[in-house]
Parts: sequence; C-alpha cells; structure tokens
Amino acid sequence: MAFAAKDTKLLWGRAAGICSNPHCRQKLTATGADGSSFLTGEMAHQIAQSPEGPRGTESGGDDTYENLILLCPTCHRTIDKAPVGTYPVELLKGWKKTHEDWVDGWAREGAYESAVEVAREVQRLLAENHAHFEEYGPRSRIAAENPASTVQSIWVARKLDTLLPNNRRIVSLMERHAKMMPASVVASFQRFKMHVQAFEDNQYERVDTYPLFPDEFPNEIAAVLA
Amino acid sequence: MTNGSNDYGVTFPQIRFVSQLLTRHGNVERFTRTNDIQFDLVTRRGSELRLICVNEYTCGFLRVLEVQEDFPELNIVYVGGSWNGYTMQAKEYCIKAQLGLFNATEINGALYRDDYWLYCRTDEKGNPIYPTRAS
Repeated sequence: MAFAAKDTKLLWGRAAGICSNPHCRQKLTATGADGSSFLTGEMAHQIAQSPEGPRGTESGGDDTYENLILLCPTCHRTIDKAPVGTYPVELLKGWKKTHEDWVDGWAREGAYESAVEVAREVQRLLAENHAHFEEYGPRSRIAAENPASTVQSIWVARKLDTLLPNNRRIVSLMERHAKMMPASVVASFQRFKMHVQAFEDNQYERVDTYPLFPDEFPNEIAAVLA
Repeated sequence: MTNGSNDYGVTFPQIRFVSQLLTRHGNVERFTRTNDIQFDLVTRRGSELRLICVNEYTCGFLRVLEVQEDFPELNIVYVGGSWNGYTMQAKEYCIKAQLGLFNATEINGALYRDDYWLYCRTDEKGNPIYPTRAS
C-alpha cells in the first residue's frame, strides 16, 4: 500500500519513529548485522479503508496522516485482531495525540541549569493540571452538583490533551535533572511517577484502586522555590 | 426531601439526582427512600426493585459484594455520575448475578428494561459501551 510522501513524513516525523502505543514505545528502525538500516514500523489506519475492516465505517477511512497511526507490527496486529470495541478509534486518536505531544515536548524541554528552574517548570505544569482537575474533574463542583453533566466530556478531552502529556513532561524533566534535586523531592517524585503510570493505565481500563496523586509532591517542589 | 447520613460517602446532591430521575422516569410508578441511599421502586409493569446509590469513581467487585451484604434483596447498584464507572470484573459478576450496575449515563435506559442487568449503551455499530475506562 503506497501512502503519499507528505502523510508518511508527517506520521513518522511526529512519532519520532517510535511506536505510538504509550505502553510499547518500541523503536521502529533497526540496524541489521550488515550495518544497513531498515524499518519495522507500520502505518495503521484508525478507521479502516474498508467498511468491513477493523474500526470500519460506512464511508471507509482514507490514507491521510489524520487517519493513520504509527505502530510496531505487534501493536498493529493487536489492535486489528482484538475483539471489536477493544481499541476504538477514540483510543487510537488519544494514543497518537499523547505520543506526538510527548515527542514534541523533547524539543521544548531543553536542559535546565538549576533545581530552581526545573522546579519552576514542574510547578507550572502541576498548576495547569490542578486547574483542570478542579474545574472539570470527578471532584469538581460541577460533578458534585450535576452528576450527569456533559462537562464530563471536557474532562475526558483535557486528560488526553493536557493532563497526560503534562504528567509525562514532569516525569521526563525530573528524571533528566534528578541529580540536581534534594533527596526528599526525589523520593516524593517516585510516588508521583507511580501515580502517573497508574493514572494513565486507568484511562484504558479502570482498576478499583491505584496510587492517587501524592499531595506532598507539589509541596516539595514549592520548597525548592522557597 | 431531607438530608440524612450514610456510610458510603454519598452526598445529598447525588441522592437528590437519583430521586429526581426516579420521579420523572417513564417506567417508575412510585418509589420510597430509606436508609438515606436505598430506593425501593415499583415499575409500571409491577416489578419491585431495590436500588442503592453509592459514589464510587470506580466500583470494583469487592464493593459490589459489600453493598450486597449491607443491603439485602439488592437489585441495582448506581455507582454515581458520568465521571464514575466500574471494573469489567464487577460488571461481569453483576450480569451473571442479574444485578444492575450503572452510572448516570446508563441508569435511565436500564430502568426501562425488565432484564435491566443486561442493559448497556451501544455505539453506532451496536457494540456495547461500558464505563470501564476512566472518565
């Protein structure tokens, strides 16, 4: 199947040649024993071309960048062979957006020269997440007063396009600059990291309990800035 | 409607939501509320159902068992608003036990069915949609 060059370049470029499944992230390029490079990635349709295909619709999906997601062969096969509904289009769109945001964050993170600089950026990201959680989350005033509010759909969207990418940026920042940080910050960060992973896993399949947001983490970050 | 107390952390606005839903529901003839979160209703076809209103972001299997133990003759567990849901394990148990397990996006449709425990929302292709992914 031949995809247009533009769509191919956009997809591979924005995914940085890495499987877009957040639980996989396998590199999709390899080097053979003879030193030559080859590709292992597959450009998967979110909506199948054929109405009878995986996640197919009446009109069928096209071959544009918007309808494609870059995956390793295993993940591609998994999403196509799983029972209908296991990997819906919205989930794949979320994977792609989250993955591309994660890649995009690499260029913006840069290297920080002090613990204060790192803490300032982490605090900003935590504050952004907290604001969305307070406004739209399950413990928001709206959720309490109107349990059936359609604002819940905004919460779902913000989780995918803001909270999850911000969480990953925080984890990446802290891991890259761990040596600058006081031990107490590093310790609370480990609990934050466990929460981030569990929170993200919970988006795909609920579990009845998981590590909640550690309240001491923002306090530890604030202490660095004090 | 008065504000009471319960051991399940259910707030008055959540109880009031259920009460208002049942009051307006086209298949509920009448209902009574006791023990703050227990709703005993009679459908227009004469079925008597006991619905317990809890507030579980994710209702798991163990929680369902606890509700069953605390409220005998249980028929439906309402887990809370649109943000709330349940594990697939809990749902599968409830289906087998002919127990309803629903959140706010499902309860209205479920109450129209005699086999309410089987009710689920569906997508455009008829595939079931369960709130088993976090909202």
